[in-house]
Amino acid sequence: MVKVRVKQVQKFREAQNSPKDAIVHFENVSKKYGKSTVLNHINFSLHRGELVGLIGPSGSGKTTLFKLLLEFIQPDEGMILFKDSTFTHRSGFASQDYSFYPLLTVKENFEYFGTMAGLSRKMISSKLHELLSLVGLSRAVLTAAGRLSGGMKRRLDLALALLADPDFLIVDEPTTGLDVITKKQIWELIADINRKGTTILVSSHDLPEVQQYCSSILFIHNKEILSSSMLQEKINTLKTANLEQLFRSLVNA
Amino acid sequence: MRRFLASLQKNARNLLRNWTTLSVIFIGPFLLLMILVIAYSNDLHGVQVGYVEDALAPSSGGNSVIIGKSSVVSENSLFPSSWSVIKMGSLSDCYEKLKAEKVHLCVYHSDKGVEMFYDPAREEVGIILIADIRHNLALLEEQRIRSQTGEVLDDIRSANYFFEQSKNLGKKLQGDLSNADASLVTAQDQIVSARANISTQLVQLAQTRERLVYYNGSIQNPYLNNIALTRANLAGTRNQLVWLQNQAGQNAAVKVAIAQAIAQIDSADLTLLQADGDLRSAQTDLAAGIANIDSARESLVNADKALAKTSDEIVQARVTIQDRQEEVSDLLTHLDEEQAKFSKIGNRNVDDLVGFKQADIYSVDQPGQVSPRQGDIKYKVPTILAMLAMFVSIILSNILFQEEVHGKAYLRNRLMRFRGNTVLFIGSLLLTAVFITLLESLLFLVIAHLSFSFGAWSLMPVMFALFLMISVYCVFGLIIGYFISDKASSLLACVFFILINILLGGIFVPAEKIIFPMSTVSQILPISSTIEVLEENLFHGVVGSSVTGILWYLALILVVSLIVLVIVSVLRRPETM
Repeated sequence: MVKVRVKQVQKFREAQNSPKDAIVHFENVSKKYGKSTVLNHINFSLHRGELVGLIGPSGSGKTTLFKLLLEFIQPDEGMILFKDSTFTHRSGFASQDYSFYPLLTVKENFEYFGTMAGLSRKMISSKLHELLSLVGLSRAVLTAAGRLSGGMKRRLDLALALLADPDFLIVDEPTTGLDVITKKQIWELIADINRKGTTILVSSHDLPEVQQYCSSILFIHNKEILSSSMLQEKINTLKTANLEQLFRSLVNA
Repeated sequence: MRRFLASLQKNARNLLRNWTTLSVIFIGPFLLLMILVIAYSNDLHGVQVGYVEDALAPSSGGNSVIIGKSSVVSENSLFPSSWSVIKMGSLSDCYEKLKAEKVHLCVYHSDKGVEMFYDPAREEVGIILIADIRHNLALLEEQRIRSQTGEVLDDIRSANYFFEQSKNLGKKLQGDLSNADASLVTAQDQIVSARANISTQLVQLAQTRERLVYYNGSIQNPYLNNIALTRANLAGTRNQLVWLQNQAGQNAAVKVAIAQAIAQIDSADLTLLQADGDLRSAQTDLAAGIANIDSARESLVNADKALAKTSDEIVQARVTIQDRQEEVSDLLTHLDEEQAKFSKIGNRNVDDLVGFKQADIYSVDQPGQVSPRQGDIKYKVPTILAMLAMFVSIILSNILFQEEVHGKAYLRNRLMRFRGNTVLFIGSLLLTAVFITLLESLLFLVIAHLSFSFGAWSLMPVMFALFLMISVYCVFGLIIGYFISDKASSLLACVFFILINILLGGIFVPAEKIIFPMSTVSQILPISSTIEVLEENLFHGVVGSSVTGILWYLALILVVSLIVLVIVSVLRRPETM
């Protein structure tokens, strides 16, 4: 059974029927900033090994969802159930921009974040070669991170996110501002990481790629979340050709 | 510890690879000291003074003209040659120029003296100029008093010479009187001796007279009486013989024998007559001798009386001499006293009596050497250093904090969920900021030392005080960062906080001008205490107890601010995304 980390004990019992194979489950989670509701009673689960695409218009609450997942903030209502109490400790994050020190070299960033993650020097060295090889940055090991190209920065960010062997990886808009080729490379990399067993939640506006690479999709709209099945229903109902058309029709509606 | 060291290493790399921070750290001290060395001097430049001379002002009389233009002051003696003096027709013209900042000071000069007017908005320069003019006025006044005092002293010295002469004369008179007294004593002794001799002579004369009277009496009786009796007997006998002879008639033999006897009687009578004559002559001589003795006695008695009178006169004279001697002695004593009074002043020089109207200013670092009026620029070093350290520590810690919190890597750091993450985060930022600022301060100190050659060089308390102050201000920089999340606003708040410290720290406005309760705030500010420690150590070589208290105080402030920082860091965790 899932191990639950909640603050509202009363709702603990109500959540007993959460999916057994979920690593994290949102149950009626609401979040407000002041009087403005960002997320309203959302329900969804993330399952081990999934590559989940999170889509939604700008300002729809994707970042708030990430914050909730990473326990940076707490829900105002509802609860978030984690499979493991160390879920957030074993989560990785690759941000929309990048999350490393641009003045440090790639190697120094690895050494710093590796040390912070509690890895030994040997382990860091090993991870450095393994992950840089994975993301294709082996030649840039001594380059200042800030001097890398946009695509390389994203790759480095992904590599750093994988440094502590996370079970769950959040990737926030990894391809924004990248050219088509690099975009594809990044999506391939994400898919590759997922194939190695890491559960990934990736937010993106690249709807075709999301549709192509993700095993399931979450669509945040009107402060609510639509799951893959619900989206398929919508596609069928609205008779749209693809996800992009559905997105447009929903957002415009 | 590995994490902490890694964090420090990362911070150091970030700082040292950032040209902006690098330039602040390493060029900043050079730049500040270059400004100190090249831009400033100890004197004022471009001074313009409006000078209004009131020639028509009525004379206020001799007493009030202490420094009157007519007697002492001239325009040239009032102002240093480096000043530009603009003569103006009226005081109101000068006021206008003063208000328009065309002149730094208005000087109104009348018979009553010198009046000065300054612009409170430029008080510091105005007061320096006024101090200079006052200094010149004081020097002129001093010269005048010195001159007059010199003249008075000369008079006193003349009087002193007169006293000396009088004393010498008095002493000579005293000697003469003593000699006269001694002569009188001798005369008196001689009189006593003479009178004693007279007395002896009188006694002897009396005895002689007695003997003469006795002898005279003895001549009469029995000698003359016996002679007369004998002669009478002889005459009786002769008569008898003559009778007998006549009786004997013719008896020649008898007659002859009687004749012979009568002859013999006549011879004897003649002898007796001669003896009587001699005796009577002797008697006369004795009488004359007695008369002579009487006469001599009388003369001696008269002489004795004369001597006695003389003796009395001598005694009187001696009394008079003693009186005069006492008088001369009193006079000498008085002269001594008066001379002592005059000597007390007369022996002093003008410097002793006049002193200095403009007190000389001596630097505590250079005793005996008059220090520059406006102070050596090197004495600004502790203030500049403290300000630099305060500025850099607050700004640097705040920037480091903001760079971390708003930086790309903060999110990843937040995801590193290990125990003590916050402490490590704050601690490494704090230590980095403190270390870098301390390094910069040390660099500043070294350059300042090379530029200005401080007399004392006690580095330990200086660095310790700087360390404590820097730590406190770094903590403040972090606290501000926690309270104000926006980068620009946070920096603005830091600048505002720095300004408060500068205003209340006694840097631009002396702490002595700050009133309660702000004076208490001023005392609490770490920068005030640090400047105190720096000044004591860098310039005066004061170490030990005098700064220990301040260091303890700074340490206490640091502990309190650290506690506040910890509380704030718990209560106000920065947003991540």
